[in-house]
Amino acid sequence: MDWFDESRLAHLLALLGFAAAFFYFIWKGRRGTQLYIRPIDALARMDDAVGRAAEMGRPLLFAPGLGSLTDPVTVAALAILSRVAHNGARLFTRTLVPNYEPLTWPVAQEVVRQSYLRAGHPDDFDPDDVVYLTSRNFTYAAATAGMMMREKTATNFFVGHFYSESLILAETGAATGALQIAGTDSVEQIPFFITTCDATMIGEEVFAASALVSDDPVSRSVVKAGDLCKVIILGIIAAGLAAAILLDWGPAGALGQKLAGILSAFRQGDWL
Amino acid sequence: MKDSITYRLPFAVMLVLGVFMMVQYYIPASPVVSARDMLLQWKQPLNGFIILLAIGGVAAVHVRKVWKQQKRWGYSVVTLVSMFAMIAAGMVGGMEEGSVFSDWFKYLISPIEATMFSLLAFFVASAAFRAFRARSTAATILLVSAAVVMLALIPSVANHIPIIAQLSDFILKYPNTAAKRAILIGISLGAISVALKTIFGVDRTLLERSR
Repeated sequence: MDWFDESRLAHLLALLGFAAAFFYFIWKGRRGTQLYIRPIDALARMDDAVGRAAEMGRPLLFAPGLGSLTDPVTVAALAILSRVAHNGARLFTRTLVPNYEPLTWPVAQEVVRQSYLRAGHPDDFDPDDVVYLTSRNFTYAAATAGMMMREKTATNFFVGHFYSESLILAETGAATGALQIAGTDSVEQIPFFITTCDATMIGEEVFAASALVSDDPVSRSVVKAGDLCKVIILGIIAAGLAAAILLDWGPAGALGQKLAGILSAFRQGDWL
Repeated sequence: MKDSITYRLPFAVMLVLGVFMMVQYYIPASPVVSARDMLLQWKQPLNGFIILLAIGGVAAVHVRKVWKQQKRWGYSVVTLVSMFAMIAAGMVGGMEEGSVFSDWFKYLISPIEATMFSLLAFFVASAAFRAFRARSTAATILLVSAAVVMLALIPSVANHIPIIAQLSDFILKYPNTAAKRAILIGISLGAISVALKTIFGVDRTLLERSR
C-alpha cells in the first residue's frame, strides 16, 4: 500500500514551510511582539465609510460574494463583515447582507447578530436584513441592485468571490452615488472593481484585511507569515531567472544548468 | 460547561476534519481515499438540507412582509407565488424536456437572466469611459494598452498594421500574465493562511455563536 505520493513532495515541503512560518509568527504574536504590517488603503477607509452611512442615515450593504464557505475568501469576507456590522451597530446603522449561497446565509446572520450583541444593541438586529436571495448569479445581481436602489445604501462593500455580475453590482452602486469598497480573489473581476469602486482590496489584501480587522495581535501576526513566504518565492523566481539567463551565457552556462537542474528536480520531486 | 461543549466540540470536529483533508492529499492509500470519498459524499445530503433551509428563509422573509403589509409587499406575493409554482411544477410534472417546469425555465427564467447579462455591455462601456480618462500616469498606461488590445481585435486593423497585433500579443503575454501570476501567488498564500487560521482556531468567525 502506497502511503505517500512522492510527486507531491514539493507541495508538502512548501506547505510545511508556510505552516512553520505561520506558527512562528503566532508564537511571536502571543509573546506580544509588535510587528509592522503595511497599511491597506481600503481597510483604512472602511470605518470612514461606515461613519458616512451613519451621518447620512442610510444603511450599509455588504455582499459576501458568490463563494461557498469552503472558499477561504468567503471566510475572510465574513471576518470583515463582522467588523463592518459591529461599527454599523455602534452607530445605529443597518447592515444589509444579500446572500447567494444558502450555506453562507445562516453564518452571515450569526456574524451580524453577534456584532450587534458586541456593540451592545442586540435588539436593533433585524434578521430580515441578512437574507438569502438566490443561487443564480444574474438573478442575484438583479435582486442586490434592486436593494441598493430601493434602500439607497450609502456605502456598499463587495468582498468575496465574484463572477461577471461584479460589474452590474458595482456600476449600479456607483449610479446611486454610494461609496464603494471592494475586495476579491477573482483575478478577472479586479479591473472592474478598480474602475467602479472608491477603494479595492486586490487578491491577498482581502485575506490580510480579514486578519487586520481583528484586534487580536495573534491573528494580525499571521499576515507576516504570508509576507515571509512571498520573499522566499521571490528568491526562487530570481534563482529561476538567473538560471535562464546564465544558461544562454557561455562562461556561466554550466552554473546555470546546475541551478536549472536543482529547480526542476525540486519541482518534480526527482531528488528523492 | 455548556459553553465549553458548544464551542469546543465544533472546534474539535473542524480541527480533526481539517487536518485529515490536508493530510489525505499526500496519501494515496486506499483506506484514506475511501474515508475522503465518504466524507465528500456526506456533503450531498447536507446540501439538500441547506436548500430546504434557504427555501424556508426566503418564504419566511416574504410571508412576514405580506403579513405586515410592509412597503412593496405586492412584490413579495409575486416572489412567493413564483417560487411555489416552480416547486409544484417540478414535483408534479417532472423536470424533463417538454415539462411545464422546463418550459418555464426556458421561456421565463433564461430570458430574464439573459436580459441582465446583456446589460453588461452598457455597464462595461460606462466603466470603461470612467477608467479611460487619462487623469494620471497609471490611467494613461491603462488607456493606451486597452486601446492597443481593442484595436488588435479588429481584423482589418490587425491585418493592415501587424505591429498593433504584435504589441497586443506582448501586452497580454508578458505584463498581463506576470501581474496575474503575482496576484495568484498572493491569493494562494492568503488562502492557505485563512485555512490554517480557521482549522487551528486562530480565527473564530465561523464559530461566533458557539463562543
